[in-house]
Amino acid sequence: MKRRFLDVVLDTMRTLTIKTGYPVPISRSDVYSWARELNLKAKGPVVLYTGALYQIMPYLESLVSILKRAKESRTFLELMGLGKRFASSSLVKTFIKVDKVKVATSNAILRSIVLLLKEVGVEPSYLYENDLYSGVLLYDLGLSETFLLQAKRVYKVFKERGVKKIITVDPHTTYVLRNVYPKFIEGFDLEVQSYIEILSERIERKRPKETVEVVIHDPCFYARYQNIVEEPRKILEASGIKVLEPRRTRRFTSCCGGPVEALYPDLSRAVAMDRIRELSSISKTIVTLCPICFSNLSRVKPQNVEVIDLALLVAKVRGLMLGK
Amino acid sequence: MLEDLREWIKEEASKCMFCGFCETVCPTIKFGPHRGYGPRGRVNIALYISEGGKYTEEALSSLYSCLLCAACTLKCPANIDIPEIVRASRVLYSEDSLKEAIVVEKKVS
Amino acid sequence: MEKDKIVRDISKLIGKDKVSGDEALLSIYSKDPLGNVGKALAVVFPEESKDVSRVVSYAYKNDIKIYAQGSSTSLAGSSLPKEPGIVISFERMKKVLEVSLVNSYVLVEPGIRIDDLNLELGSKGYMFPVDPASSSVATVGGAINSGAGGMRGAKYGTMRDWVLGLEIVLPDENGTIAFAGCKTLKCRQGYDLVRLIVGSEGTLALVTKAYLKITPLPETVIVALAFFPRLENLMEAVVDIKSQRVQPYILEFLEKRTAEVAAKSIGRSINIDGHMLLAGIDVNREAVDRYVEWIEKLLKEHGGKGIQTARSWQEAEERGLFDIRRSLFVAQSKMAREIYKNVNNAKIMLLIEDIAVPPSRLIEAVKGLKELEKKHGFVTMLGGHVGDGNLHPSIGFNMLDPEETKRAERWFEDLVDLAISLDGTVSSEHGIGITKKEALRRELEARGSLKLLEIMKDIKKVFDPKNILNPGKVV
Repeated sequence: MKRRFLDVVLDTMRTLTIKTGYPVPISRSDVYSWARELNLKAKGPVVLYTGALYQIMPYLESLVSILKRAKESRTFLELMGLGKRFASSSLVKTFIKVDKVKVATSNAILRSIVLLLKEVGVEPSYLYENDLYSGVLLYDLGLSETFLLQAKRVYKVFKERGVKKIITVDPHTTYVLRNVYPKFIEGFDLEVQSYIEILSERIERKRPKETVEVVIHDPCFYARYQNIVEEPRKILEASGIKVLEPRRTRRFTSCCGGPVEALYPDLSRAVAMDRIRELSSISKTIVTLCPICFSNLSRVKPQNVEVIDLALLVAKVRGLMLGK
Repeated sequence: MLEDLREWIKEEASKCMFCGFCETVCPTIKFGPHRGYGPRGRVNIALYISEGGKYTEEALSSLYSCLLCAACTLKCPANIDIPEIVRASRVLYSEDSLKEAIVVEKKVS
Repeated sequence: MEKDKIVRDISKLIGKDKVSGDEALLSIYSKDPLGNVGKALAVVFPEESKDVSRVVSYAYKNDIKIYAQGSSTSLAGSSLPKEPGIVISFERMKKVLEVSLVNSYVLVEPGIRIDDLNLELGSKGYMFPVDPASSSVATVGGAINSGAGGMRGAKYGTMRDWVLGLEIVLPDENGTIAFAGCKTLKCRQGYDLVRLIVGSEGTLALVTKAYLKITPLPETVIVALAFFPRLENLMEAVVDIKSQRVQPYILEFLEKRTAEVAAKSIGRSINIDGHMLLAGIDVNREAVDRYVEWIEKLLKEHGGKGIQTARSWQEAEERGLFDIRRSLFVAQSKMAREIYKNVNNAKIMLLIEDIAVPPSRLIEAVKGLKELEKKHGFVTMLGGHVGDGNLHPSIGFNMLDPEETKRAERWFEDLVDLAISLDGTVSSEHGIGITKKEALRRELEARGSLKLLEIMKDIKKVFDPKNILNPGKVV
């Protein structure tokens, strides 16, 4: 039977997730290292769950470039054989070259989220080495059995730790936990709220030293799937940031192209460039609320355009940044 | 279970009236090589598969190039759950290709 | 000829990225909105005129049928590959090649969608005014070939009024590329072949470039919405508007129940006090107040209720004055689905018709349609362009039910008779395709002009001696 590139990618993600709990070759300590200096409790009914999406994006980029190279050279693909074998070999870790700057940015975003939550009086606990991947990508790619396996693992962690409420940090994880898990896990009874929703309820007005003007890029999974549209605007405006709207915005937002990066990199890039053009015609500072949007738009942005995550920007203008 | 899914896809995708309104907001059709990179194409390819059609190269490109961004759902006059059709079709492919792989492995051994 | 060989041959001629024989892909180029399923053997994606020419020449030499497609949204079956053949999809030829304000034209490739063209022209203060309801999807090439019209038809006419010149590929041994018509607004180039190609539904030649006339965007458009309990009053209001030397930009009509369903389908809780009239009038900015007052008074005098006015197109957009009219198609499809929601094994087909009668006979037409509804037992949705007498009555039926399908056919036959008896026509802007061939024959017969059908068939033979271009359509 002919092995398609698609099958290799699917197999790789499936196998890695089953073996390691993550769809990319990332070590557990790299998933939670961002939280080291924040002194979050390891136990408590309200837990911050990152689902590791911010952390795995730099790794995913690297994995994709390996697979892309493999696709271009057939011998490499043959050498690799089944994705399964590839994923389980130590080969993969040798090849993965992660951009340290990107890792640092992901970590800084996560730290900002915690600082913002603390500012509004929310002190969540954290799962550390049990901050597992939610499985959302597997779900979207139709790997339903592996997704279910992963969802059960994640749910078990929550239950063992007596979690009642989960605070999520990105639109995809929020959606999959709130809207998909209950369909697959019997008796699912956890409250799920995104940090964006929490902040928008509690954030207080604060004027920044200088006026900042940004254009907002709504992520599909907040704006269309969960009707989270006004919340990020409220957070930005409460921090004295002027929010400009692009042509396609709110429910009518247009995708960053990120979700097909692994399988159709050229298409993904074209979609991202189209969106960057539209956004940067309104402002040279683009605010994103999703690690996939952030990663994919950053990749194609021109030099004079800045793409910044909402948490990082808001924490900065509110003067919340830690020393580094 | 898998058969239920196939039936659901067939039923949901059959609602398509081929008006193409969804194509005007789809981010991928603009840059794709053909109509298969748009929602109307995806829904009808899903229908083709659910009716026993083959997973051809273009069928798979069509289904896996979808961003699941759901922009199309804003335009569909028949209220078709297009992203869910795509997801479900991917589940079908995964299961079907897994079955196929097992058969091949058995034959080889 | 064998499918794989066709794909191989065409790959060699124009490149392998421009042709596919992938079965799944072919399945989506073999369908249309009427639920018809055809048989594409290969789909070709030309990127320039030469590609088209080479494929046409190849098809001519090998006796292979060719079906041109834009976005396959024809409501008459015009782009369906009815017999096995090659589909030429123009979706990659979508460039605006030249915009010339001084010459009042735009040169485009046929695959561009009408709204995308207008996005480009709008930035220069111009527009291409033909606006079929599907303008966001419909391509210029498709609109040319179906002779499309739209909401602005009463003021701006249809495609045949806006095409200056066409680059075409002829179905002969060389796939000859020719240019019909002129770049100039005035043109007396022997017989008017441009207007023959417009509305020919891809049966005579393939359009590869088009010079289209363009016109400035109106300075502003005021909009008024009103409901009339009696259709007579609505028509009197229309006549009154026209009598005062005003040619509305748009003048749209929705029958009462249809308006109700349409409003409901988009979740609007608006009081529908009768048949809906939506009027837009293009005016100079200084005259806005005067015209708004005038139209409001006029509508009131004729018994209009729930009158709303907007001082600009944008204001009308923001206040949702177009929403009900625009959701006609949604309403039509929702209504049909609603009716069949408890029927197992139903494949709903929506028949959207396209008759026109002289506006003076619209009342009779609406009454006639009501009678047909009673006679055949189909819930009829009704809306149209009252300014030019073009009505789009629609019914939904279950294609899998033979009795119902028969009944729908009889409804359509009666509709044709109704249009003819009111001095009207069976197709205004959708085309003939496969669904209205018999209706066309009846219309010509009723006018004692069957000979014209023979002439049309002869014209087809002159252009396409081997009958390879979209066979079985129009005539």
